Amino acid sequence: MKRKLFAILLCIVILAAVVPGVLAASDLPRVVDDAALMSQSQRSALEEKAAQLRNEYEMDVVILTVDSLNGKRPQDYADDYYDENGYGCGDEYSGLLFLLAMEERDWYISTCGNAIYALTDYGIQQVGEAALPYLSSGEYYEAFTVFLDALPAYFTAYQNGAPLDGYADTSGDYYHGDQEDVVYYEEEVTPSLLLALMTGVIVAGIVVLIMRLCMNTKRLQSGASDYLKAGSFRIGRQQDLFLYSNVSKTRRPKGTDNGGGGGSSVHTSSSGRSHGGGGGKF
Amino acid sequence: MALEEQSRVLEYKCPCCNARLYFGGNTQKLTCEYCDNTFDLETVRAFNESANQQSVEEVSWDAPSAQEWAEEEQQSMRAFQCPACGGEIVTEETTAATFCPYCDNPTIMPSRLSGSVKPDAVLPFQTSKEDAKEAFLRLCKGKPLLPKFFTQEQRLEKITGMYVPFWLYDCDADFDGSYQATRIHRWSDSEYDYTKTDHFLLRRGAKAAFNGIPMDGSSKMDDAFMESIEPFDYSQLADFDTAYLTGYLADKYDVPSEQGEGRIRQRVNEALEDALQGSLLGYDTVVPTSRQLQVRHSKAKYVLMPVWMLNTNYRGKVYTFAMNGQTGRMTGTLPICPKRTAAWFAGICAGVTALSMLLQWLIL
Repeated sequence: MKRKLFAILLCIVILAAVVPGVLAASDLPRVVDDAALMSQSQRSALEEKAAQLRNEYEMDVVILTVDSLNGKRPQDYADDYYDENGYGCGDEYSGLLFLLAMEERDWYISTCGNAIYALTDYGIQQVGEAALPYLSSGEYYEAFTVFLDALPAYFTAYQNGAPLDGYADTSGDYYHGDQEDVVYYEEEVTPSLLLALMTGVIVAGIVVLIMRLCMNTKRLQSGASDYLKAGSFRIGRQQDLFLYSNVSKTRRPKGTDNGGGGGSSVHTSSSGRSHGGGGGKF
Repeated sequence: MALEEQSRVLEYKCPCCNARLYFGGNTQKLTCEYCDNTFDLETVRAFNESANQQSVEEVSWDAPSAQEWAEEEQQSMRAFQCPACGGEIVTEETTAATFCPYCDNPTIMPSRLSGSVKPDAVLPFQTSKEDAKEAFLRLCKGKPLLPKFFTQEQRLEKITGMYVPFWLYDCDADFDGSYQATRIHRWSDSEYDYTKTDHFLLRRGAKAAFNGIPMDGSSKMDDAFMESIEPFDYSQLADFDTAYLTGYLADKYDVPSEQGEGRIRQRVNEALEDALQGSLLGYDTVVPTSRQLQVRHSKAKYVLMPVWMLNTNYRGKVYTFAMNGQTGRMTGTLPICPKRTAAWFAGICAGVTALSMLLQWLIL
C-alpha cells in the first residue's frame, strides 16, 4: 500500500517537473499573425518550418505581425514580446523574433541567447533584406518563407564554430539595435583533457627515453676531435660560389577583419535579458 | 729449440722472500703480498735477470707435452708450465699474461710479447680492484630505472684487470667537400608574399693531423666497450716492460692494424666535418653533395691499455662493465626494470597532465 502510494507520488513529481517545460516550449504559437496578413494554411506551413528549425538547431524562431506598435520602438516591442511570452530554447532562451509592424512599416529582428552570435548585425541585415522585396510588394508569406529558409545557413555555421559575419551596411534603411556592447563569437575554450594528456604522454615519453638511454653507456664514439693535433686543422680552400636565385610569390590571404563592422550589437531589454537585433523599413 | 723458447713463462719473484710480485696500480710499484715489501721496476728486473736463466732450464724438459695437442689445437692453444706449482697452463694463442689455474700464480708468456709482437708501449694501471668496485657502485647510483634490488642482489662474479692490445693511429687527413646551400629572403607588399632563394655552391678543403686515435686490436673485446671508455691519457705511456703485466691478464693483438683503418677513416671524417661546420654558417640550408677524404701517412703504434672488466650476476644473467684502468671511467649496460619504467612513465605523465590542466585553467 505504502509502496504504491510512493510510486504514484513519484510519478506526479516527475510529471510536474517535466511536463510544464515541455508544454510551455512546444505549445506556444510561433507564428503570431495579429495583422492577419496570411491564411490559416500559410500560417501552419510557417509554423512547421519554425518547429523544424527549433528541433534541428535549438533556436526558437518566432514571426510576429502587428497592426501598430502603439508608440513603442520596434526594438522594445520585439524584445518584450519575446521575453514576456516565454520564447527561447535552453537556459539562454536562444532564438529570434521577426517583427512586422504594418502601420509604421517597420521590420525588426530581435535575437536572444545563442542567436545573438548566430545572427550578427551583418546576418540580421542579410536575412532581413532577403525578405525585403517580398515585404514591399505585399507577398508576406513568401517573405517569411525566404526569411526562414535563409536561417539554416547561419545556424549551421554557428554550430560549426564559425558564424557568418561581415560588414553591416547601415548607410541605408538598415539599423542595428541599441549598441551597449558589441560581442563577437568566441569558440568556447574549455581546458582540454586530451591536449593535457597528449602533453603528458609526450613529455613522459621523452624523459623515460632519456632515462633509458642513460642506462647504457656502452657506445661507439663519434668523431675523433680528442685526437686532433692542436693547431693542425687548417681550412685550405673556402669557396662560396653564387649560382642562381629564384623568386616565388604567393597572393596574401585576405585578412579576417574586413575593416569596421562585424560582431553583434547587444543591449539589455526591459526584462533584463541581453538582446541583439536590427531592422529597417519596408 | 724454438718451441722451448716459446713455451717459456715469466714470473717476477720477490728478492726478499721469493714469492710472486704484483704490479700495483695505485703505487706504480711491484708489491709482495707475503713480506709486504715494495720494489721499483728497475730493481726487480735486475734481480730477476739471473733467476730467469734458471727457470728456463727448469721448464725446458717439460715443454714437449705441448706436442701432444693436435695440429689444429696447437694453432690456437698453447701449454705452459706454471713455474710455481708445476701445473700445466693452457692458454689461448693470444694470451700474453694470465694466472695459473691451480695456484693462481701470475704468469707471463714472453714469447707473446717479443719480436714483431712486442708492444711499443704500455699504459700502466693507475687504479685498483677496489676503485673498480667503487666505480661500479657509483654507476648504479642515481639510476631510477635500475631494478630495486639490483645493487643488493647482484654478485660481482669477477673483476679482471686486463691489458688490452690497442692500435694508436697517427695520420694526416685531407678533406674536400662540396655543399649545396641556400639563403632565403622573405618580404611582402600589400598583394603578395615574396620568397627569394639564392643558391650557392660551397667548396671546402681542410687539412688536419691526428695523433693516437685508439682502436682495440683484440677480436675478443667489444669495440663499442673499448671506445666508450676513451680517452686515455698518453702522457703516462711507459716503455714496454713485462713487469707491468704481472698480476694482470694480457692479450696480444689478433686484429692487424690495417683492419682498423676503416673505422679510423670514419672517425676522422666525422671529426673533420664537425670542424668544418663553423665555416658553413650564414646559410639557411646546407646539403653535402660530395665528400672526399684522403688519409695519408697512417702509422699505427702497438700499445697495451689497462682495462678493468667486471662481470656481475643478477638473477641468472651476467652483466659486463668495463672501466678505463687509467682514468676510472666506467661504462656498461645496466638492466632496466620494466615496472619502474612504467611507474615513472605513468607518474610523469600524470604530473604533466595535471600541470597542463591547471595551466589551461589559469590562462583561460
